[in-house]
Amino acid sequence: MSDAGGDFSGFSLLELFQAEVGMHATTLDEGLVELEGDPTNAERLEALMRAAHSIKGAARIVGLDPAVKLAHAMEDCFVAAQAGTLTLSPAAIDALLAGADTLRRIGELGEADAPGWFETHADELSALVERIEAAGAGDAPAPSAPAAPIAVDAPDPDAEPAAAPPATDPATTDRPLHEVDVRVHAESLGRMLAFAGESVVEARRLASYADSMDRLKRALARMAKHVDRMQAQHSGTADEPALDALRAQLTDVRRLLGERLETLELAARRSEDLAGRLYHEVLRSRMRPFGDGVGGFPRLVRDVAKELGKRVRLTIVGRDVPVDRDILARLDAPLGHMLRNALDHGLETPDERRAAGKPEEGTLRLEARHAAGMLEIELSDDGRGIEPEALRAKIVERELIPPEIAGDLSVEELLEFLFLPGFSTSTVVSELSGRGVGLDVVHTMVKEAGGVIRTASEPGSGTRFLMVLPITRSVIRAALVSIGGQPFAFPLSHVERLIRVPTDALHEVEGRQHFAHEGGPVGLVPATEVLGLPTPGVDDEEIDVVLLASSTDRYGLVVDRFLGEQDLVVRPLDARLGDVAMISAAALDEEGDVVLIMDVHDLLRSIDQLLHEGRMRSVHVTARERLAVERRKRVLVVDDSITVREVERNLLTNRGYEVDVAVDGSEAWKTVRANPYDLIITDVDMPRMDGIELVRRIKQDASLRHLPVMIVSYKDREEDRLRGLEAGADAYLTKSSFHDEAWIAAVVDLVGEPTA
Amino acid sequence: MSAPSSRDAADRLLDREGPAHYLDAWRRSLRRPVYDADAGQWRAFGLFRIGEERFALETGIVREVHLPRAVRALPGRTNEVFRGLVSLRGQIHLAADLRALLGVSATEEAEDAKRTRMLVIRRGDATWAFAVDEVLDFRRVEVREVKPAQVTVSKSAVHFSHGMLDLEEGSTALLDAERVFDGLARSLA
Repeated sequence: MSDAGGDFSGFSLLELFQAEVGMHATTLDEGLVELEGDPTNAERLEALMRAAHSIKGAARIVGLDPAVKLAHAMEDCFVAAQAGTLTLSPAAIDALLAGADTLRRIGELGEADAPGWFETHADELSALVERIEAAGAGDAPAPSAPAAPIAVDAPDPDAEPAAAPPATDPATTDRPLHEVDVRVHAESLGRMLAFAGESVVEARRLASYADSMDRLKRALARMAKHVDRMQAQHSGTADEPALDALRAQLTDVRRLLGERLETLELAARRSEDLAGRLYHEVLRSRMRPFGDGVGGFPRLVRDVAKELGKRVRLTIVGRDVPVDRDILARLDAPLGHMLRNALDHGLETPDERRAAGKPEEGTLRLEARHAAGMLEIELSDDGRGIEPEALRAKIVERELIPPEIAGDLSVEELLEFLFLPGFSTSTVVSELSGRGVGLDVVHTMVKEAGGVIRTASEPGSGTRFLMVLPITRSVIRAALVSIGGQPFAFPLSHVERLIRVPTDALHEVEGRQHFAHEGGPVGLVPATEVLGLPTPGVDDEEIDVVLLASSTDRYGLVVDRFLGEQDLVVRPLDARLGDVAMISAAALDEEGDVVLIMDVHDLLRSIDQLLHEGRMRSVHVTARERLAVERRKRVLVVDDSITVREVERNLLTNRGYEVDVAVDGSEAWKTVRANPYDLIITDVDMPRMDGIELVRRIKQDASLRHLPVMIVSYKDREEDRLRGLEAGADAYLTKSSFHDEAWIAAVVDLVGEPTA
Repeated sequence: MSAPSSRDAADRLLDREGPAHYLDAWRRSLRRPVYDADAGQWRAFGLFRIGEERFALETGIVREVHLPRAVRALPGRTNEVFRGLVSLRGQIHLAADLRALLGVSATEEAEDAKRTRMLVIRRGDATWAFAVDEVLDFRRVEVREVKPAQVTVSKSAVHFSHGMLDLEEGSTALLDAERVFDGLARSLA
């Protein structure tokens, strides 16, 4: 009967143990770090004791005796501390943390590796168990423990040596069932969301069916009036009895219909309500408390601080703040980087702090909160802060930009440089903060999640990083409009205004229609033209316009009509589609049909291009011939750093080239296929599509193959150069070349003078 | 005390433990293929009609049948074969025009929209939805009924077929799922 117990066949016992360890290891880490500051915290001790006990139980079931011994020793420590017979010293906590690490490692062992691992590590394990037992007995720390500056608490002379746990086990009380987290496959959650959404649509259909029944009810009422009139006309005739009977029957039918309709309406309302609740609950189940994503940080901060010889207290505020699980998962790496950075570069050593008149213990504060419909995550330290002039000097020293430009940068612009790949303010490249890489990871992640990051720093008193992210990536508020007979959604956050413009308010300038809005003229662009959809004839007295704004321009996008506002559950586009121009995602509308969500940034760029070409078309032929002679060479600059883009743009424009910019390889790839260029200048490290991939694609495209490409990068090692040239780049320069004429000279070499 | 009713007796009869080996016997019976080797091998197909041509896909490929829903065009990407996105039971699928892919000629008479259905086909992780003019049947067919493809179907349909089924109602092109999915994938490029 091997298939009888099929329910568990998918899990090996070791996997169950792994799950158990995974669940409790974080509790151990967090609790131990907290105990270090507050050794008698009863609540923490209780949680720790339970965690150790649960791991012990699981290890016993699996038959991992060394793990049982280890967990048992740890549990004893906690029991003794709970009983008050022992105060856990920092050395004891070190030993216990080592125990937690070892348990986690055991949990990660594969089924096949486990026996061998235990064999080779037997000595280490028993040493560790002894060390923990010694700590539990209140003895002096084992020699392997790091030298702790604080004296070990003297053991209570009356204390019994830590005994085996009491026979009546206090740790059997598991968490109540209603607090238990379950693991759900993300795909399953996605399907639940889809079904819940569909059931909302179906419930609404029921309501509209009830409405249609209402029309039937009114028709019957009119019929009853007719019969009433006929009764009056035929009163006293031979027809009277038949009419009376008809009237009575009609009354019955109306009453019956009324009752049924009431039931139907009630059912429709209830199912709409239920479906709505279900839908929102499924949506909410995508949210996790912030605390779930930061459990590892106290331990990380403690270990890093210890290694650096710094003293620090990490305060985490807003653990209950709900965060979209996607965003929470993406936060882990960047926040880790930022904490390491703050510890390494931000905070001073205790001596330095004392000299500066600050408490020796530094403070790191990590806070999550919801503000103005956004998730704000703030990390602040009370360290040395960033000296703007030192940063400016560093930027010049690294030859990132010429001194004359650096001199004009504001403090905010200077702080932007912290997020450049490979940039670090620390004079000593440190192992810990990963050789200065890190903040660019943060920047990329925040940008990908649709947020922004701001930096503020007060020299001498600390640095503050503020990330502003959407609370969820799964729901947006959008304006629904019809374009070419098909619904499209504009995220409200990217729409300036929806305006209904009377056609007599329109006027024509240079062949384009404009209307006046808030002082300035706004150029009108038919949405169908931008999207390449059929343009329906418009003869309304008013036109519906979506007002969009980029940092430089405002456009009025003419749509068929406004459909309304709606919360949409964002669904990513099928990966098989690759990059889709002007569309960022899909969603379902109230009828349950697909509605496409506009990528407003991409749309604005397409409008720019369209207007550019449109103007060219409208110019008289002879003028165009003249223009062709005078046509200046056109260069596309691709870089994710606004500073670098602007520096390059300025240098090129001053020299007489016409310059367009793109923020990453992906945008550049779209642009380069739609427009003629004489040269592409690209960075290497960029989000979405890097420079190497961009070069490769250009050089593999039959129609673009001959377009010269120059790579400009901070990376100046030979292998980076080779990698760029192998991909097909025609030249590879470093960004340090900006400050001399070499860069412009290289451009001229590649494509010739601007007006050849 | 009331006399035991016949209803109680019936309940006991129905709820009684099965005889020894009862479940085992059923397991053995269900594990055995329904069609044994003597009768030849059988495969199951979903049969549908587009225009006047009949097609078959293995039932493992045809996953869902739905009433038609609005297909939304994807600007700049939609072409003759790839028509856009469609939502079926809350899931968003890529929508294709199989008539265009297979090169089925337009029917002279207007189709009865009442019979129009959307099929969802799946192979590996890839799904596609497309409209058919009628879903005819799901049935088992003996493998020896599968004949080499003939040119009675449109030429491009032959390219996507790996055989013909000679059924009573008429010959049916057996579509090669791999080629169909490849053809659909090409429409996205």
